[in-house]
Amino acid sequence: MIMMSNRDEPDRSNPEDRLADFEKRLSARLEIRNAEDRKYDRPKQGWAIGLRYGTEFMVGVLVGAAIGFLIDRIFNTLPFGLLIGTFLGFGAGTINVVRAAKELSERASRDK
Amino acid sequence: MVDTNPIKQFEIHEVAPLEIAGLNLAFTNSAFFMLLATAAVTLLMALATNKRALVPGRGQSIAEILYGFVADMVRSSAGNEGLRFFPFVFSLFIFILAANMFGMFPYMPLPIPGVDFHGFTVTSHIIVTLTLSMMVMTIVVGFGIYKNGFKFLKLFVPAGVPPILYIIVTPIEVISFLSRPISLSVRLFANMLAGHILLKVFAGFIVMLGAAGAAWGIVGILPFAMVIGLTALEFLVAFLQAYVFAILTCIYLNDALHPAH
Repeated sequence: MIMMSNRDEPDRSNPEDRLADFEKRLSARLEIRNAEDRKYDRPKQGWAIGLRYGTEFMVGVLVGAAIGFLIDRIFNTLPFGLLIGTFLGFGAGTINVVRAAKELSERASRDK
Repeated sequence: MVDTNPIKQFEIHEVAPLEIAGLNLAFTNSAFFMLLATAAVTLLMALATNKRALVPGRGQSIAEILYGFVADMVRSSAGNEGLRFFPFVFSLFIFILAANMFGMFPYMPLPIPGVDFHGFTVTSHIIVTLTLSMMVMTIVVGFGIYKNGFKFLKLFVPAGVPPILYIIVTPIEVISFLSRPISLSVRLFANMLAGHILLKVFAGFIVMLGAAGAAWGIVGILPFAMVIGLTALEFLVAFLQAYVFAILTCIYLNDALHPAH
């Protein structure tokens, strides 16, 4: 006769129960592991994030100025297009940075 | 005197000259390294997956981890719908990663007459990174218009803004959109360029101190330690920049899928 198993504890002979049990133990272990990994991840990415904000802002201003200058070249209105373009470029750069920050913080909160 | 010019590594040499209709289409060392990266990735992937074992071996595990890594990246930023772009994102990521990693070889055998050994980083040339980022933007715009039609333009007209402000907001959104391919390419290019120059500048110090003779050679240990540290950092940068490029691609593709956000 096959050994009778206690209903309270997971049935080791039933493959599905065994899988669920394994899954549970594995996820508990992974949680600890991930928490430890995150501790080391943070400082490494700090400068990469800083660089990202930097380029996002710089490129916004440059593209704005370039478009303004292009409009100037076409319509022969030299200072004004460049001025307005640079102003709008500052706006675009700021939006870029805000978007990057929002997306990074979303990622960080999801990882938690 | 030894050549310690840190910019020399970025020179383009012709491997096989080719001219079509007055255009110089020579096969260069840049093309050679791209081909090398592509060939290496293709070969490794083919070798790793040709067994199709249920319980993966070492090679297959690496391939599966890479697959899972990129698939997670696509899913988390572009949703399940974004998975249709998985082959594109995966190719992009793995190509940039391989090109960056091949760039980490200080010397590579090259089939160029006169220049037998040479190190070269494909992604340290802005024309390469800009081409990659324009590819991404072409897909974003093309697929965005194909899938959403005129609704794709909603990207430039965010909801919940007083109508009068659209005069300012729309140009800003347009500039912000146009700055994406440039920031994408400049980031990768600048990181690789700056890192490799720094590496070669410090490596040059070792050679210069060694050539100065006598006790100066011992001082050369200091820049040597620096080079070791920087090399480790550059490996990190090589991976991180490939990752950043791929993840931003996913985020931009998400805009093409759901422009209303």
